[in-house]
Amino acid sequence: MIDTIYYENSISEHDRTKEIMKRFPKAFSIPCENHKEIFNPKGQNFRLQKKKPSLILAEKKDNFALPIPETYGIGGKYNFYFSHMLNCLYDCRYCFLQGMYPSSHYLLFINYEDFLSDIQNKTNQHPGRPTWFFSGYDCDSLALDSISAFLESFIPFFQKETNAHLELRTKSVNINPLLRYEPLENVVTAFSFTPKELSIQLEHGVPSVESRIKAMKKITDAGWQVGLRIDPLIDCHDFDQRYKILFEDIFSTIPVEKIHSVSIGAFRMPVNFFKKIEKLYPEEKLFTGSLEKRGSSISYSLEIEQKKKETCKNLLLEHIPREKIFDCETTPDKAV
Amino acid sequence: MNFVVALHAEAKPIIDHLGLTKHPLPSPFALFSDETYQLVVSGMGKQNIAHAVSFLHGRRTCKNLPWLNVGLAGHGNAPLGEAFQIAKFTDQQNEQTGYPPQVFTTPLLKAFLKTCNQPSMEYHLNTAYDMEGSAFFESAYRYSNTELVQSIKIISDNPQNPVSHFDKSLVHSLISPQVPKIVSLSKEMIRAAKEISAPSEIETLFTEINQIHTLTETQKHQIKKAIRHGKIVGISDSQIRKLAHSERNAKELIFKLNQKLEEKNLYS
Repeated sequence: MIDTIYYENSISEHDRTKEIMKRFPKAFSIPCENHKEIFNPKGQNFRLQKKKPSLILAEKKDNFALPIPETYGIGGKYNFYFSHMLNCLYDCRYCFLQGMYPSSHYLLFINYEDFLSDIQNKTNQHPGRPTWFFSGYDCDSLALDSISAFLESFIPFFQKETNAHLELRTKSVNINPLLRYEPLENVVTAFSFTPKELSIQLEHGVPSVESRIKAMKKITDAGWQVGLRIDPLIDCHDFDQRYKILFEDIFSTIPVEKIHSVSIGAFRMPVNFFKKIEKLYPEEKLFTGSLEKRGSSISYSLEIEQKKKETCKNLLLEHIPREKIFDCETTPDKAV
Repeated sequence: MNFVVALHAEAKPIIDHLGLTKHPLPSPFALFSDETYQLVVSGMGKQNIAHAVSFLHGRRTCKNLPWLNVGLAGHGNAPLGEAFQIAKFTDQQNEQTGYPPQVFTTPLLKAFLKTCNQPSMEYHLNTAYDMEGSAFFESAYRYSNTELVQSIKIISDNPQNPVSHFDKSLVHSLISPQVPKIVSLSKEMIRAAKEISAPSEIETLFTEINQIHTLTETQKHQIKKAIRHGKIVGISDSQIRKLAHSERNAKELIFKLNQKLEEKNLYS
């Protein structure tokens, strides 16, 4: 799967680097001074690299856990996101990563201990009050766990630090690494969904809707809480019917009491990301839709966005109480 | 697809295999081509190859053309005749380093390349040595995506067979066995380039419309976008052409095109 591994010279002797290298004995490994030499240069084509991404092993120096946009929470007051990895195994055509990064190589920061130390510090700033940490904004939290062994390092921390809450956002069905642990009340595995007709066309390489629901079921059967992320909402033919069926499929399988939260976010993208993605995939129908510039974002018209969100909320309310539903409002002038 | 090769003896097996013909007109570099390929013989050294890349670009200034450098190199521990795809290059003089993205599936082994100003008598492990590579990459990166700029080096000397003893009559026999791998990579690069290139029909239709109506820069952009979106949602070229002839001006044409698009652009 990985043919080429780049690694920063400074971490060549790190245990995690050695462990990961061992998993790819046939990969060609290339030393570099700084991951930016490979990840950042101009003139790279995200689409071509996505055909065969390489792995870059690096050390993150700062900005480990950062505040999330104000409207993106799921009920907590103190919210941060962190990214031990940049880029994703999957290739969703609506994904902002395509516009954000110059490269689609998997960039893995192997100094997990520094992330955890920052998470600990931020948790300590609010003693006795829950602090949320969101993983999976810039990568899929579970999909590449067989390479990153992310859960092995992070779950034990959240076992001990119950004041810190973790969201693992994913579209993966790779749940076995999680099932090795006893369920934790402060960890939510949040699965993103679009209706299956859209998923087939837009979410390349992503496990089917059906298999993701099965994975959710296994997790909840084991006692874990899950989240639903209906994000991005995509306007489409038979919108009401397709989302209705999606919710029926989910709620007929997953007990409501095991669903921690549902969040809804309409399709939105910073303008410069959108322009880049449109150039990368000029044949993609999604970008011909009734999209418009609002502030510094491209999104559906306010009228369409509100109507579709309302439809979804009403459909969800047939299955789940209002207090579990959160709206990821479009914040045009803030980062997604 | 552009091949850049330092010496005619290195180029000949590729020219023969692809059946390229020499350009009869005088030019600063020997040039061979057919409908798909251009091959330039640059001469040795960084300056020559940089000029040859610019020369070749000047002949076909398309975006996203693949560039492939092929040539002989020394190596610290590889046997003679082994072929490598370059995964990292360093210029010995200015220490500039680059990492050509490894996105193609090829049976070629990978190597680091050090580009020197003079033939190198030093042989470090896992490193190939040439006199053009870094300049080739730096020059071709100006004209194409980094993924579409690659280099293959075939080993002509090593510590047991130093460059000082190199027999030039062996060039053909070193390169020839690797030609199928070279051509195979070039074909994959061509496929990748096609995938990211805008279909030429869009440009053809736009040129027609541009001759019918006077267009501002913004309108040019809007019409190109409408043609592109029209193709995606299934509005035919002939429908667009008909509208272009029937509408009185560009503004009305754009309005009508957008109206047609709105009827069809809902995701299915």
